[in-house]
Amino acid sequence: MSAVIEIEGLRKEYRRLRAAPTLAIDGLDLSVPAGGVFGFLGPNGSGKTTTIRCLLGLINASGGRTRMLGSDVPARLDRVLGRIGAIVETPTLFPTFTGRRNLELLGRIQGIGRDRVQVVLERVDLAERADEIVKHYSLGMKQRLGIASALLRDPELLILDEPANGLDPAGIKEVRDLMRTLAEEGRTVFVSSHILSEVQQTCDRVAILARGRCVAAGPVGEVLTAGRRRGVLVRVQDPAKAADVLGKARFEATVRGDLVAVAVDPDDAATVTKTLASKRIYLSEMRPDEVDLETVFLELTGPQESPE
Amino acid sequence: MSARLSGLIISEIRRSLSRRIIRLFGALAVLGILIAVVAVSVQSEKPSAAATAELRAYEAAVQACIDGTTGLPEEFGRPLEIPPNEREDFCRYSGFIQGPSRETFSYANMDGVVLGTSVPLIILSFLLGASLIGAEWRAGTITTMLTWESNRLRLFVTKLIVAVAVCVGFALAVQALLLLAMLPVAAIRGSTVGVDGAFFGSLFGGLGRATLMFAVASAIGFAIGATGRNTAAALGVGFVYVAVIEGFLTGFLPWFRPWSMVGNAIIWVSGEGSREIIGRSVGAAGFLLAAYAAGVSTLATAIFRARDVT
Repeated sequence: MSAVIEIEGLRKEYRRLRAAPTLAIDGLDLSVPAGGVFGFLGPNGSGKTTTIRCLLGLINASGGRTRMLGSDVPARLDRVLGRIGAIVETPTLFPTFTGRRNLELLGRIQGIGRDRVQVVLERVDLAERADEIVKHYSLGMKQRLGIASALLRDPELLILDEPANGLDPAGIKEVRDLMRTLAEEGRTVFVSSHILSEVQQTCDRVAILARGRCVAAGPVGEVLTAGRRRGVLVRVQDPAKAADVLGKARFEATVRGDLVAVAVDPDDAATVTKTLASKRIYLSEMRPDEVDLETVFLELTGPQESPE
Repeated sequence: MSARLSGLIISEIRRSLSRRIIRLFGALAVLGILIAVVAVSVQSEKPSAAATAELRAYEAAVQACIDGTTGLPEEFGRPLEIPPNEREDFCRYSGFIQGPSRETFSYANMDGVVLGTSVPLIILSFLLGASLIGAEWRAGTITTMLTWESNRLRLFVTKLIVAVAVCVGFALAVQALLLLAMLPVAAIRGSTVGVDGAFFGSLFGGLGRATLMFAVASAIGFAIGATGRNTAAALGVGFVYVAVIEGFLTGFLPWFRPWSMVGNAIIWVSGEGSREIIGRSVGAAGFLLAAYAAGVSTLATAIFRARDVT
């Protein structure tokens, strides 16, 4: 699978006049394969937006190499920019112009006509409000307008920095569905987000950033289970007794609240029920012991940092 | 010109012309011109045949004085001993030539009016230049623009050229509107005596010099606004420089005077020499001002290319 974004040893150091330099990105390595939705996670100050800005040539990297769609960036960014749509942080368009006029002016730069503007406005469900001044838009509408601007060029690669910011639950679902649809059309969607549950539901692959470094990357399932034993959770009337019975039967079982966590492949869960039933302990619930992304995220990024 | 560059230029022109500040100042200018038209129409009266003859005689006397063919009391010297650029003021305002007895608006004075309106329009050009880029930084649209045009040099130079063109166009449009609006006033309630080749020479000369000054002011305003990434910063820097720094430098460092922006601007716009900078020709003053604008713009371009956009 070819990579649409390749980052090797990326470093970014901010120098300030009266303060020590700040290392925002510290040797980041990352490869984003073509197709699908790629989640880019990290706590505040971990370097997500800085990485995106480096990719788009908005800031100069202190070291390392970045490539997008096979071209070195930012040196050759102009060669591939027409195939990329991007929004960085809160989409910034002229507040005193209408949404439509903003898009038309942007599109004019690359010869994109009004028909395409109408298409993307309808795609983000803004067509009816497109002739209102952007200043009067809600944050969610501004986000959708930003996504519309990123879609204007019909891009192969979409880079979306916190696209769900400010959206209500319905809006978040719309964006999630839109990202999935775009990915199904064969595009690559590279999205940074702080809504971990959304990332878990939307993304095919994720990378987790902490202190300017990539601490985990890969398919969501792999990242969630990396270094963990698989198991099941069992609900019984007396968890301590159940754990004791399972322990004696050579299962690795621990009490977790009112549940018993058993280290066993979920496919072999029948052996657990059989063991407990043989001692007249009956289950009221059994389910796979899944780890959510938030748990993994907090473990990897350290307890002192909260999700962005 | 590539399609992409022409697209960028057209986009920038449309964006600039859609700015509310342009529309606001445009509306204010129209309002000001309407007030001037009404005020002059009320104050001025269509001269009678006798008054017209009196006016013609006055203009002829003034011209004769400028040409040195009219004698004046010897104790005041001969007009030809007065520097050429000061002769008209001397002849017109020294009081030796009796002016027309009635207040009649004369279109022949419009060259002076245009010169006078150039000063606020130069200040306005600086403000507009700074605002056109300062608002972009304030709104954050520069980030968005750079995701559409990654060549910073091309983007900045395009924005600079468009901003200067819009500012110059705006200032010239205001002056053209003023000239057009006063024409029927002169025809109906005033006089067009003295509107001749010399008048048009003076008028278009003044407009030409003002045009360069509008461009210089808007380019410098744009460059400072771009570097400070803020309209207010540009206005502050401009005010502090003109009112404080240059005043201090010209006051305490006589060698600095020939390099003074304000001093050279006075020479250039008025089209006359100044006692402030002895020996500085009008052309040299204009060249120096253009060089200042080019220098500041080049520096701002280099800074824009190098600095992070965060």
